[in-house]
Amino acid sequence: MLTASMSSLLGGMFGLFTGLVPGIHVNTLASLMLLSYPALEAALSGIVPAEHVPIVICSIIMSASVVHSYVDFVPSVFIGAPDAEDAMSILPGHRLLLSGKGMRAVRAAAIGSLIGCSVAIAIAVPLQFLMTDDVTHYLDRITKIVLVAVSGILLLNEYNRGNLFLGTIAFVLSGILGYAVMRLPIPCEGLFGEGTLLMPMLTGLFGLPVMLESDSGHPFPKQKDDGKDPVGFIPGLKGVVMGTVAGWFPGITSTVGATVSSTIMPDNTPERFIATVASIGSVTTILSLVTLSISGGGRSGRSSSSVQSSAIL
Amino acid sequence: MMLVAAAVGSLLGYHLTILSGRYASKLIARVDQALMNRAVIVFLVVMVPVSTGLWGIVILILALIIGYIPLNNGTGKTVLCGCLIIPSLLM
Repeated sequence: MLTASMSSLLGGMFGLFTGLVPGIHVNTLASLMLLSYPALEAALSGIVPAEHVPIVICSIIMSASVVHSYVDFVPSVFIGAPDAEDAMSILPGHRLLLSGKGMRAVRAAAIGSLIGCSVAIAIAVPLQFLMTDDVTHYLDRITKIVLVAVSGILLLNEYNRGNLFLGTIAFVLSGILGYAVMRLPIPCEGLFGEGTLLMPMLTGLFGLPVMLESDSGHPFPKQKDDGKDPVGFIPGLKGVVMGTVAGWFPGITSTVGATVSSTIMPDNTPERFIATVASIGSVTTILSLVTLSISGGGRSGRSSSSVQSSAIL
Repeated sequence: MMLVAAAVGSLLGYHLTILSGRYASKLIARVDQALMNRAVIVFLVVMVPVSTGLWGIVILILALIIGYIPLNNGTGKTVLCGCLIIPSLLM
């Protein structure tokens, strides 16, 4: 327990770094830790017993992932640099920043994540007993139906705004680009080894246009912080529901989940939308890691690293 | 043990988010918006080839063109999540 707690503190510092620096994903940290496992094992041998090394690695990855899921909203709000999970919260976050309420966006994200994490920790293990092989096979089978339904909801929103044609074009073109980035063998060798083309894609789709169009020539307004919770617990709980569902289906990020939940149960303030996105991100982070540590299969780099680290034990 | 790590991470994450948000709030009040925007744009544009090479720049330019469709036409930006949904549909 003490080993896990101390390792978590160290992981938290890593998560703070990966969360605050745009373009560095916590998956990179997880992959690096796995690649350098023999060196880490040797380095830790004098500090912890050999059988505790996998616990140290798993705790660092879990804690870093959780802290990353909290703090990545800070660069998203203050400098408009996106992450795959919170890309859509740039606009409401930036809007609050320009009206001197950047801290309301940050507090909303922190509270949304806190509620999401707390509930996810409570339900993570019981959920494993509910998710039998039959249930997971059923969910796998309906993945495409869910994705089509979600796409339909996104396009229905555009229809209601009178922008169905251009909305569909933007949806399809971004999809083609996403397909090329994720499925085609495009070289992505940077100065420090192989990078991920998701970063330029998300920056170009969500981050740069907002920054290039921002009002310029004026100082940012003085940011006020009243120290109050701007959202309450409802958006966080909505995030838990959507996060539990979204975690099982590829392609449904926190943002897509929040948009779907906003369509079904409208969020009337940007703070509430941000809290929902934050909660979904934290719930999916924790549930995917716990699920993988139990089932041994999964979707994300950090999760796979944890599983492999456990397997080494 | 993973849940302990998640709980510790969660408590840390909450306080670190508020702390770094406060720090960023103070910092940003002293910064000129245009200067800050230009600095971030330059940082991101430099980071792209550094971390992903020349193809990263190609992807960035294509993404930027597509990213302008919602801004210029009042379309919601959520449709751009097609970049994650469509590849998953075509798996």
